[in-house]
Amino acid sequence: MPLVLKKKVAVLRGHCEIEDAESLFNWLQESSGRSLNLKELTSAHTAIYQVILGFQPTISIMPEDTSLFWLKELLTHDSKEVWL
Amino acid sequence: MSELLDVFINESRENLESASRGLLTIQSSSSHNGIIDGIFRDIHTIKGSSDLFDIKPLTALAHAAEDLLDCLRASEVVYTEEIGDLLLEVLDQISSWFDELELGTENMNEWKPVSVKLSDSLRAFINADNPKVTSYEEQPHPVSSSSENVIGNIASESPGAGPFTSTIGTFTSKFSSSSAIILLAKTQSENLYLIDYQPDHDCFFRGEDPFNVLITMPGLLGFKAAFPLLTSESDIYESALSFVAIGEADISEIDSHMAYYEGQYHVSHISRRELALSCAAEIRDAVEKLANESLLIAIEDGELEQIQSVAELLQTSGNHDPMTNAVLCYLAKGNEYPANSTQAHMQGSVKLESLQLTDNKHVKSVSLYEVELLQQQRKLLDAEYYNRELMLPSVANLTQQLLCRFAIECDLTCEESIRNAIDRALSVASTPLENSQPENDSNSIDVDSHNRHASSNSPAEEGAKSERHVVKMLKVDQEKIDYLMDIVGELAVAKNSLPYLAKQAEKEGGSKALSKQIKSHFSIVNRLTESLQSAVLQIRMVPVSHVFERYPRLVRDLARKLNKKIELVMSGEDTEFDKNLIESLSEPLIHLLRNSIDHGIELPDLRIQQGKAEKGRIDLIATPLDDSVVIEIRDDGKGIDPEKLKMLAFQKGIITEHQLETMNDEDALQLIFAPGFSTNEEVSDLSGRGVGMDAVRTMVNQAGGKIEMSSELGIGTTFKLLLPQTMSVNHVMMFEVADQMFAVSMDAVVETVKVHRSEIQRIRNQNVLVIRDKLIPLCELRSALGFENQEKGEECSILIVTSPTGEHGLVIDKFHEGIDVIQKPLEGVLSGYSHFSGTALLGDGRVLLIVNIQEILACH
Repeated sequence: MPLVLKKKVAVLRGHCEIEDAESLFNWLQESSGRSLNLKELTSAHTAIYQVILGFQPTISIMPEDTSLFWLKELLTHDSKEVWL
Repeated sequence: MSELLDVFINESRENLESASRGLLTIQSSSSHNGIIDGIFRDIHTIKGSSDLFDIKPLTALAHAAEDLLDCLRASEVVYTEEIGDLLLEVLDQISSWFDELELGTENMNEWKPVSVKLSDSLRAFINADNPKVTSYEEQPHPVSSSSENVIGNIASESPGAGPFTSTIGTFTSKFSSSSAIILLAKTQSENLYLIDYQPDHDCFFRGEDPFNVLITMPGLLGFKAAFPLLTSESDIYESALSFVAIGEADISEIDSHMAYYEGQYHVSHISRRELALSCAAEIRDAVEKLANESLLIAIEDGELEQIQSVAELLQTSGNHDPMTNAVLCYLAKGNEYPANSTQAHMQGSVKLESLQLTDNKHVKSVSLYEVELLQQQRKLLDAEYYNRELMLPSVANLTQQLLCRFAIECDLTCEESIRNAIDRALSVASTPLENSQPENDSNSIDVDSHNRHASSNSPAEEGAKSERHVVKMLKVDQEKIDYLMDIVGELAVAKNSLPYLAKQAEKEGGSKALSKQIKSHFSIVNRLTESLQSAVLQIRMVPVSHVFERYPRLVRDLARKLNKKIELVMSGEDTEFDKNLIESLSEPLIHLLRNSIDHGIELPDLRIQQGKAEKGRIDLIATPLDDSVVIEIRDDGKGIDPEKLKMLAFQKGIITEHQLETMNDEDALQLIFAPGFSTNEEVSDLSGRGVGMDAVRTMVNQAGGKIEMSSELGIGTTFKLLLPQTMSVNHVMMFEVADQMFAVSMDAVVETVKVHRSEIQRIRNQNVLVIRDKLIPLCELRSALGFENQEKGEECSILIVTSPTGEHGLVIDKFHEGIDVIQKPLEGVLSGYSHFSGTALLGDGRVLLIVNIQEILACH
């Protein structure tokens, strides 16, 4: 399962499809203080990224995959500028 | 190449052709007023459309040409042979740029100096006669304009070329202040792009994935994303993202990457050199602010390696603000410290212009500034990078001249080193470009016109040109196309047999599944056959000008013979038409034109008496209308008198006395199409040979078209031909009579009805049917086609069709489906039977006879 929703943490693994965006968004809204574990995330549909970036939840672990370097940059820098 | 660019180039080529035709006409004749106007419009169109693309040098050149033409048009500048030659050269240049654009080998850096040079020559003519003319070339633009412009100015002694900095402005406004320097540190490529990508809100529903589109963009170096914070009301399936990205790749590469997202992005080119120039001040400020002694010393010494190592050290050693960090990173990458060279460029242009050094040498003194400037220029020439990039002998010469004058103020070693640098620069510039091009690739700028010619004649480019011509046009024997058409026709027939097969599989094999499968295959084959058919038909389409272009000569000759003055105005010559159809039309059109010339247009004296222009006018207009084409032949002659027509028709026994009295004017006019009718009392050798208009109508009908005529006495006559655009496939409705299949063209079918035999009434020996209060005469097809009359059933199938004489009902045995067939004309012994307009082959091998309704009804 690419998206596992636990009590406090949602774990995103591998590739997350657009279908997961809604459940992720609803889950994030259900209670505050929920965080995301992106450690094993390799890629996702833009809708997922939009939820992650737009909701700005706590990220417990940043993605390890180097190809998601830009996501880390966008999440950590206010300028929203990424240089590859 | 994008489709838009393709269209632009093709259209502009036509404009270029017509402009150069115009110029040649001017050169061969004395009057040129109207022609200049035409050329102006052509160039204006090219300029306007070129603005859509990032080809500024072309736009600028077209703009300059347009300005000159405007002055010529307003007679502010007097046309001379020289101007004509220059304009032709400009047209050639633009044309060769189009070649490059088509091949995708365009290089703006090479274009710019050429554009500047030609534009200046053009403007020289304007300014010589009219110093007040201003243009966008000469409008003031920011000092931070591109470096090549400044240098180009010195070289070509011209005011600045077009502003190239707008994209940089966009870039710096969208990204943070240090981003430009970060970018400079990241790449050495000149080929940078800036893309503004705003995915549509509903793009997710189209399966688009904007982030991944962005990340996979070719040569992506950096981007900035904008996204809204989500609230509980946000629709997460609506994209609210927008991006600005920058990278190194050709615009064309980006266009092909973004092909599916047209309208959602805008991409433009950024020049690294211009960018470097625009950030020069920031880099200097940052270095000054850093106030690191070793860095400043290194910079002062101009030792690149030293600057590099100091910057690297500084980068790792301390915590700097983003700007400083970016600058250090930029310097650590071995980039040149821009401050002085920029100053040199800027001051160079300012000072040299103010001193008028560019065009005269009467300088009395020179300040330390100038000496410093010259020394900087020496550095410039010395530096490998600039040396290769600029190759400007004129700069070298200028520097040399100045330096020789003021050698006293400089030290001698300086003079010697500058000599060496100049020699090297000159030798690089004079080596043939073929050799230097591979290493210069996109960076070479050749101002020297000799070099330009050398490059444009290089074998590689000529090869490319010929390649383009080969690709563009393919001449094919028409027979081959006809053969292809025949095969496609047979394929259509073979395809039609699949439904029969499906029916058989169901009936005899009892397999519904197999039948279904055949049917689904049929739909695929059907689709492919249809697209094949339309592709082949498209090949056969030619512009109507193929036929039209013979007419001006014809009209001129005939008019002279008859001592009339006639002007033929043609329009819509580019309307496309099936080749065969067009040829079959040629004769009727000639006939109609002859009629207009002979009977329509009056003699000049008579025209003047009637208050008309001495010169008669015949309009030949082709306009596409849905699937057909309308060809109109309109003359402003004497028109046709319906009374006279009626009288003549009566005399010839075409109409009865009763008709003579009751017929309205419109119907009377149509009498002209009656067989054997010629209104001109004297039969001339031009028209009215007894062939008459009925022959014209027959020919048009054979081609599947219609002819209409309207006329107003004393004002003129109009013939309107409505023709199908292709002889393509005919859609016919099949029906059965005496167990045989027949068909009528679907266009003629109004409706199909089944009525009880008792509803058919008999009036005056004629079976009629009343449908919705309308009386419809019936025609028993069985008897009309010569079959035996069988015992009549209770119900009657009636096919109601239209014909020129109104609606008629054909009594048939059974209705069948509509079908697409390729109609073949009747041949051999059958060709005499006008009851049938043609035959077609059915899918099961049977021959389908297509009924000619008009003939059947006429015989009936």
